[in-house]
Formats: sequence, structure tokens, C-alpha cells
Amino acid sequence: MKSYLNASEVAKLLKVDRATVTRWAQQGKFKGAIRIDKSHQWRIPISSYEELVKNDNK
Amino acid sequence: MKVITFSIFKGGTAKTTSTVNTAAALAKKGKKVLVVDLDQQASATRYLDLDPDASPNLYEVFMGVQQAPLAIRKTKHGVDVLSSHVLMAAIEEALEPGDETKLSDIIMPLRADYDFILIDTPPGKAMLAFNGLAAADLILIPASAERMAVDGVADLINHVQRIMWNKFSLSHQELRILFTMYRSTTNHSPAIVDNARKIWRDNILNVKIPHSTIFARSYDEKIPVSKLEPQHPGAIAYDVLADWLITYNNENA
Repeated sequence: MKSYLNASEVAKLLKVDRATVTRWAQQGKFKGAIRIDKSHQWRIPISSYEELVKNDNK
Repeated sequence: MKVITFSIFKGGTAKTTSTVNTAAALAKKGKKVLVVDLDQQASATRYLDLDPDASPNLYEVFMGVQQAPLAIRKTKHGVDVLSSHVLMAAIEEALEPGDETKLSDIIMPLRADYDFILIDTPPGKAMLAFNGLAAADLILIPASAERMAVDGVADLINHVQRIMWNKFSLSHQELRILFTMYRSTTNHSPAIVDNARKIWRDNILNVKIPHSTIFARSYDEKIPVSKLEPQHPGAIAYDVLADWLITYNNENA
């Protein structure tokens, strides 16, 4: 099991566009999210996705 | 036999209703029962009157921040639960091919503590559904006798026997078909069961769950039918299923 998700997977979960997730990641909205140099893919820790979901529900 | 998974890829054929009411019927007979809710919609968790937003839950267990024995929640219906959470959707995304046996590993240390572990799976060909299937000793396929359920049953059986059994050592598994939403007063339901019997013969359980509004009422009131109305044909059907499981369990111990 992966401990991180990519931007498309987070976009699917949040039902938003992939570009939105990428922008949020660039803005530092996901704690611990990093970009893999070669593929330019975002690695977003599931725990930071969890944090976002829980804070949004507050 | 100990772990029973209620699964069919098709939605709305009484997977959750069957899991919860079978669990409650077994508990009523003095059996120690654990329900594992794999569905991110957390219907089984809600049905057993637990808050699906609360901790501990199965999401935390999959994430490795909580141990399974410490994540078990008690219910007032005598059934224990590993409850679901909306974040199980993230687990579904994070599971990769090869992760199908993760749930088997999670429930392994719990097997000794329970007479029965019943798993409710999400609909669709999802990784969490495959996890539920891989963890099973017995797969119960709830099929609606209202519509042509035969295709859905065949799809599930093919997937289990051709893909899962090939990929993992699971050929000890047994499959049974449970007809639900059965209307004995029409020709339609008996015809569907007769047709299915030509294909799957003895793998079709004799007990059939009747079509009834009692199940919706039972869910609304968060009380299993065996408590809500023990003499109702719907409650009696799950009671018969529970007896069958106990006998089956003794014979296959």
C-alpha cells in the first residue's frame, strides 16, 4: 500500500480538477507533499489528505 | 470456517442488510461476532448505531496508526465492529495490485477471539472488495431475486475462481448464493431461483430473504430485525441463515 497519492488520485477523491490539486500542493496546502524531480509528479502523503478532509469538515 | 464475506460487485442487493442481520442473529444465539465494514459509505457502521466519523476505525488500522485489536468498537446489539470511515476512499486509492491480502493480515490476530467474523464489502471491482474476498473462508453472494441477478453472480464467481484463486492460495474457499428480496407470491422470483439452481445447484442456500419494508425500517431505527420484530419472516430468515452457518462451521471446523 502506498503511503502517498498523486495529484490525479487526490483530485478524484476530492472531486476537483487535477490542476486544482497541483495548485494547492504548490501553495503548501498538503503537509509533506513533495515533487519527484524526473516525473514532475506530486507525492501527497495520505496523512496530509486526511488533515485537509478533517479540517474542511470543521 | 470462520470468516464470511458478503460480496457481489453489483450494488443494492442487500450486502449490508445481510451482514448486519446475520451478525445480530448469531450474537443472539450466544456467538461472538465481529463485523468488518469495508465500505466507505459506512452503512453497516451506521446500521449498528455507531458514529462513522469517530475513532478508532478501519482507516487508522490500514494506515498503521492503530492496532486491529484496539480498534474494535462494541455495539449495544452484542456485535463488535471494525468500523468504516469516509477516509476509506483514500485507502482504496492507495492499495496497489498485490495488496489484496492486507485485510487477511489485519484480522489474523482476531480470529481466535471470535466465533464468526463477517465482512461487508463495497460494491464494484474495488481493491477493498478484493481484500474482503481474499480474507474469506466462505463467500456469501447476496443476489436479488427481483431482477436478473444471475449475471452479477456469475461475474463475482468468475472473478474469484479465475483471478483470485490463481493469484493467491485461496482454493479452500467456498461460495454460496443467498437470494434476497424474494417475493414468493410472484412467479418472477421463483423463476429466477429455479434458473439459477440449474447452474449453481447446491451452492444456492435454501433459505431466502423475503422482500420487505422491515429492513428499511430496521436501518432507520438502527435496530437489527431480530430485535425489532423477532417473529417477522425477515427476522426468521436471518435466524435460519445463522443456524445454517453454525452447523456449517461445526462441520468444517
